[in-house]
Amino acid sequence: MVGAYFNRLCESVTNGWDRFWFRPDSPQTVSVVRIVVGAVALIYALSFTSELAIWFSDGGVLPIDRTYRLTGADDPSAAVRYWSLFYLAHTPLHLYVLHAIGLLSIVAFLTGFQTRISTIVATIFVLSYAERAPMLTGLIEPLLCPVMLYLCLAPCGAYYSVDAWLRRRKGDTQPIALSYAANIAIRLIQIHVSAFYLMMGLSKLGGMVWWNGEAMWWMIAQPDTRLIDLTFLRDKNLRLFVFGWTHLVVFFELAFGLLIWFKIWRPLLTVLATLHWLGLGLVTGHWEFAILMIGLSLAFAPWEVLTPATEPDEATAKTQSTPKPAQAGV
Amino acid sequence: MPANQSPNVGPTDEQGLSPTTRSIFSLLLFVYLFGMWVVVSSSLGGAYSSQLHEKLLNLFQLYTEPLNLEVRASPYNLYSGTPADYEHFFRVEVTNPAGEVQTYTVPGPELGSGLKDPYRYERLAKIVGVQAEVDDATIPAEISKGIGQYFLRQAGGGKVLIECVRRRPQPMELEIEGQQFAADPRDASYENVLYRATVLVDSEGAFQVIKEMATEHVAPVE
Repeated sequence: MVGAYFNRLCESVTNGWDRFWFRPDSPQTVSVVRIVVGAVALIYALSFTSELAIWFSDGGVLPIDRTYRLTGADDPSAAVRYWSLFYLAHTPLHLYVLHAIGLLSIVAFLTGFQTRISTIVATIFVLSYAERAPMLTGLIEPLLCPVMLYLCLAPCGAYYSVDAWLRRRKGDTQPIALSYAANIAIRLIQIHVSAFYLMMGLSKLGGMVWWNGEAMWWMIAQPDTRLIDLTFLRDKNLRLFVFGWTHLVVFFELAFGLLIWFKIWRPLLTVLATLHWLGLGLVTGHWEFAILMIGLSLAFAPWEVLTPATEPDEATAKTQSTPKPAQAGV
Repeated sequence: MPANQSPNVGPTDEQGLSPTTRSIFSLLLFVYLFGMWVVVSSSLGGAYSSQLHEKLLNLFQLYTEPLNLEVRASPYNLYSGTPADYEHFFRVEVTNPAGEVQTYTVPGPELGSGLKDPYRYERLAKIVGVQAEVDDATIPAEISKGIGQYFLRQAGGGKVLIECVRRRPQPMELEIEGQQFAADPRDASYENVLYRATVLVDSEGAFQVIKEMATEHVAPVE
């Protein structure tokens, strides 16, 4: 009896795993995610432009030897595995040449031009920006980098891209093939995003300020990082809103990580995620991370639950009433 | 909004995956996802991790570090209530060769005005502040030297005094048990200098950092 149970359990888990990972899917969703991620990657790379040489050239704030000392990479016994193309550039000219190539590759990735190649090159550059000075890493890099890596696996230029436009212009009317790689990439993105939500929610539970409801106030009260002044919320009549907001942030992040796997919740959670990140982006100043999180909700499309339910037509009804063969459902 | 099936979607790009291919992919996915969860669940830092977690973290760093998957250095809880979450910045006092003194704030218009540069300089200031509190002299000196060099070049010599300042956020109540808090959130009463050093060019043309104080010499602002 126990053996039979474990056989059925193994069979069920294996079938579920196969259905989740190994079915071909349309590359439409990865193509949409490419646009969102490309836009955020471009903002991220552009943010280095004005002071790139001040940061990273020899004699700058963080030249290579200083970065090595700060990360411990100057110690041969330490296993430090950071790498960056920008380690090769020492002068402002070299840095800006590399930066220009990086920006071009990201624009090509965003617009979907030579997408297979540009995705890989853009990913290498985004990793290079992030790894050049790991001590400057913020919220965005640990999510942007893996999502770009996952997009390298998929034909993310199949739709909404210069490549697709050029294909049509050449008269190529071949239908776009379903892709196993597109499914694996989108599943990896979904898991990563959902794990991030859970991690963010759980990590907040480690701090007392998220329990006593004050966390949002302490962020609102930081004058240099906030993008909007909400200190009027200290008013005695409005304080409950601050406490409620704090609790809702934790609740939503935990709920999103779990409920997003149920298709019926996805449209609602996406709308709520937009409001959630809009609020947090304005209060914390992490607006580009907020854009990324809102955009990555699209990785959970298709939202077929939004399609109006239709009455089954006569043929469908007839099919449904036909007895199934004996092996059906095996 | 993308739909599940496009009207012009055709056959699959592969002729199905063989059981062997699926097994290999499954193994790789399992190992990768396990490593990813080990890394993602480490966001609160070493104090919240078991020895097993730390060992696994070191093992998976083989690929999580070069692929920038690590989350430990990033403040994903947004605010934990510790002083390390307060705003930090540098106050820089530049004395040029003519003896004129100018004071700047970093990040500010002189340095750190780019799109995300204010955040990056604030990260550096936090590192300096936190390291100064644990009595580490090396890292604060390295970072101060980098910032000092920039201002010395701009001024054409002289000396630069750099302070790392921590600013407490304003409490919700501006009067607590008879203690009045300033209405201006940038008021000096909210500030606490954690580290102070002078950067200058020595007789051989090399940049030198002289630490003047670290946090243990300062009475905390209550």
